[in-house]
Amino acid sequence: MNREALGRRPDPALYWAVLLVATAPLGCGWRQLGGLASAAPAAVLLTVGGLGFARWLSGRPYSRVVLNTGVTLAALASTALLYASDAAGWSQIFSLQWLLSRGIDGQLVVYLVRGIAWIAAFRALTVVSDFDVLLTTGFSLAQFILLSLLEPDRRVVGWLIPYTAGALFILLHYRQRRLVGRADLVVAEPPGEPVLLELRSLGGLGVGVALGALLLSVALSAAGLRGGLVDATRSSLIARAADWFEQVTTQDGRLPRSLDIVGRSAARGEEEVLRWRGGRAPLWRQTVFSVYDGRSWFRRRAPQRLLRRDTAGRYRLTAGPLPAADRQITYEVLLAQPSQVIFSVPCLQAVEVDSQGLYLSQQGVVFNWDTLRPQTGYRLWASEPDDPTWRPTPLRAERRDWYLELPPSLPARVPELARRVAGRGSDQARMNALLNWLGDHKLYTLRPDPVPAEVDAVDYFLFEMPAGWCRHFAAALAVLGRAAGLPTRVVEGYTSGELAADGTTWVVRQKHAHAWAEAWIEGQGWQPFDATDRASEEISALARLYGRIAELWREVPGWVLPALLLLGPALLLLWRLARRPRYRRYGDRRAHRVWERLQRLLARQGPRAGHETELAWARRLVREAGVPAELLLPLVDQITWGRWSGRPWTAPQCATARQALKALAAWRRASRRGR
Amino acid sequence: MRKRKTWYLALSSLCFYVVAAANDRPALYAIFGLTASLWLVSRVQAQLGAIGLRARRAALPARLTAGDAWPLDYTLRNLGAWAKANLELVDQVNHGRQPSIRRQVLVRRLAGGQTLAVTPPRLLAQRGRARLGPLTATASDPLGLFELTRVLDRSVREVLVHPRAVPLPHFYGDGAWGGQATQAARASQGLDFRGLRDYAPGDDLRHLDWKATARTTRLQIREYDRPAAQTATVALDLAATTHWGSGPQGSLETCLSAAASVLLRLQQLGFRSRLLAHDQGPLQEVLAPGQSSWPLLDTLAQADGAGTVALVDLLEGQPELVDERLLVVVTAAGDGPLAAWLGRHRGAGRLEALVVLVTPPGSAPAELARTLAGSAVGVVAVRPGDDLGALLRYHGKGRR
Repeated sequence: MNREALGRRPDPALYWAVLLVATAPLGCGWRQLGGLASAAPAAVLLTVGGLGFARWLSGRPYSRVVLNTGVTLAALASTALLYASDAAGWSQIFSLQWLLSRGIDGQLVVYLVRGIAWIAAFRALTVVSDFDVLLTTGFSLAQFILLSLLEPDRRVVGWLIPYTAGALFILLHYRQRRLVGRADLVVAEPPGEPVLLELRSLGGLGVGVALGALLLSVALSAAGLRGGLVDATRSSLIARAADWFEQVTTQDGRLPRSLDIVGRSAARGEEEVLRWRGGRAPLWRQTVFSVYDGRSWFRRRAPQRLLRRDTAGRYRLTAGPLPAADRQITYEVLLAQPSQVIFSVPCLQAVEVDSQGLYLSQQGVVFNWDTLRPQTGYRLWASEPDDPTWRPTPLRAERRDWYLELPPSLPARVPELARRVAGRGSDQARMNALLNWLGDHKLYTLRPDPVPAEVDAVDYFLFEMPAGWCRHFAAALAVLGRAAGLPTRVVEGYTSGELAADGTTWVVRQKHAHAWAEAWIEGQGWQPFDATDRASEEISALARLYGRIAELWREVPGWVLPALLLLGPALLLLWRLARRPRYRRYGDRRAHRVWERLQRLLARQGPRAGHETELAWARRLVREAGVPAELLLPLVDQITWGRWSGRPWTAPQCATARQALKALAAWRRASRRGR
Repeated sequence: MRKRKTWYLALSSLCFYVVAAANDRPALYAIFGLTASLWLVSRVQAQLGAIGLRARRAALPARLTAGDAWPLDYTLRNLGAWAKANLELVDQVNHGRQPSIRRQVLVRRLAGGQTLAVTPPRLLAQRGRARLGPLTATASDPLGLFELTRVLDRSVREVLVHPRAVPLPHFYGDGAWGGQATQAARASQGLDFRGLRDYAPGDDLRHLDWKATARTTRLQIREYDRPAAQTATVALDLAATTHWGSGPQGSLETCLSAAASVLLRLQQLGFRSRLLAHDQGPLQEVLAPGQSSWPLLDTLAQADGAGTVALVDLLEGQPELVDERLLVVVTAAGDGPLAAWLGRHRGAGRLEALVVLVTPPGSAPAELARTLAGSAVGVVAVRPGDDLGALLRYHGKGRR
């Protein structure tokens, strides 16, 4: 849609549609910090308000100032709405207050800068592209990509699907309008609503594109190239089918099958995962990976067994009595997100949960038979590792081999290093030696260097990379342990989280996701070894500056940001007022006032075009809108005389003009009632 | 712009691949796959939409008259099995002198094997040599990224469009020379006195010979004979500098229409009517009674209004005009020399002159009109769009 097609007056509805399409990524980028629940009411209100505004505008003379002011006010109103909704206690709605209450760590600054840059870019884009929806959509999609790189969160990519469908629909709609608009004749119009036809067309396109993407990815994979959907998910179509089968037939099917240690995406979301209290700060075990192929860790598929309940209704993981009350470690867990896994801790003995059945995998992960809903609570009983009553289920020989397997491609220098570092001693001592070596020789970073293709990831980390993150440390420790003859595995889960305001409850969030290694210690079972804990953090000068800004920002009172947001438009308004052209109007001021009132009064009958004189406009209204000529034409004539003759109106002229204006207003009311 | 869009899409797809490969992120690979697929599928859709179509035009006459509707009808058949959507069919008429006119028809859906009769909106023919076609179909993907145009009917048909000749019932005949008892009698009316005859019902009373009636006590009607092969000349001003406006509302088209109307009317009256003009070269066409008027109209249809010889010079080069009975001058810009020539020769010989002066809409009467009116030369001012039949009411010398 270009300006030529729109004529001199841009279609407000189109303007709004383009604005919505282009703002969606920004909104999604913000909302990924909050909950999805906020998106629906905000989007509905914004759309309804926007379309109402567009309808209101369509009956009025076009004014860029009014349009831009309206858009700005609407954006401010939507922000205020979100703010108010948060104050009203709606769950996890994005708002400034929500960000501020979470200790935003300077993140808001980033968003503000991004928002300002986006607004400037969008304005420039609409001017350059002449309201071209495709270009605007492309620009917005680029924002999505940027967001997904800056804020690695699957939700951003998830938003892409409805967003892209919406954008394509708008694009399709305006394409249809343009096609019909430039045709002299439209024939063979199929029956049905145009919107339904467009949806059908969009559906057809979607199916075509999906099939095309699938074929492309198969072709790329067949050609031995990276890229395409099949290669990206690292599985063939058969493997995906097997995954699906596993998902519907087993309890752990919904967990990730592999732990990619060459990737660099880290979960940093603020979403709550669980709350717990009791016991001591544990590492919350979620998934166990025991197969290493040189690049990633994989889960081993093995049968699961059903746990039995004891007389007290607790699901028991071990035989024998529970430890005495003074030696028991109990945890109360409250889920904040749906989960099928029972988050567990080392030396777990029993679980008490309102469930119809729990399963235990061969690798010690406990699953519920169905997904547990948020706000479901359960209780865990665990022992101290050195508790004499603690009798871990022995590791059978064939299982032991699982945890000692190393890929044949592992370079020889890794086992050499492991043997040299581990030395001699107990299993615990050897693991500690390996852990200490890693802590002393490697730095921790959230932005590790990429691991090149075709090399062993652990070998590359141990000998080439100065710093890595938890997956690197966990994988490296597990491989070194295996090389030193200790059964090890990699576990993914969460750290103990942060202490809540009540001082007793701990909150675990998405950003606390973590990976560590576990080693089988005779008599104690699987014990966690977290090398990340010992590593120093790699801090750059930029990060230090960023940390300092975040620290200062935390001290800023909560009202400052809304005030700043309001201050900007206020200053802009003052500046515009100060720069307002000051000139004395030629002619009689009363005539000017009557002229403005007359224009407002008859705006619905047809606003004055830029090229029309006053009298031409009046004659057009008489001809096209049926405005009484005997009222309008003398009045306009008199106004023209008053505005441009240089002589003031006399009192009778003034009275006549006002009477004519009143008569016209009465006519308009009557005509509206008649309609 | 459209090409730029497809390039943007291809380029962004490539960028996605590079970014995906650099970051090794499945989501980015997915975006790459989708954008590349969108590019590919859109192109294939557009390609499929443009093939397997056949169009058959309705028969087209060799000649048309300006103002007639072009017969643009055609049938469209989808030879394939799959439906086609949003086909844009463009048919165009190219005039040598005017911008080509397009008729664009949007076919929303054409099922496989379906035949559709398309009647585009009326398009009025304009005088001149026109070319119809080719008929093209443009198909695109739903988003309009790719548009492929295919020629459905390559044949370009040339049609000559004649200027519109208007019937002039009141021009030079009706009541000018004696009564016409019947239509046949009116057609045979001439200029030279032949004799008297008794009055018959229906004769024009103005042609009563009152002296003979008094003498014979019976109503007597004067009858005239026309000399054989009497020539009437229509001098048409085609000088490039005299014409204004363009298209059907321009002076050239009005002049040509007036000249064609007068020439045909004179032929109808039994004159040997002659066209005198100078366009790219001298134009002389003679239309004898009973002869086909098509060669004359063909000549007028192809007139360009690009002459370089002034009308007065053209008239000066034709001394025999002075001895002819009737001269009709059709011009858009009379000037002093033309007025002087007409005034001089009107008084000298038997020449009876009429000037059809085409004036711009809303303009004041030209100086020529006033001058000629003063010298009793017939002047009819015509504006583009006027009803020529009603305006050209000339009844002969001194009888305006």
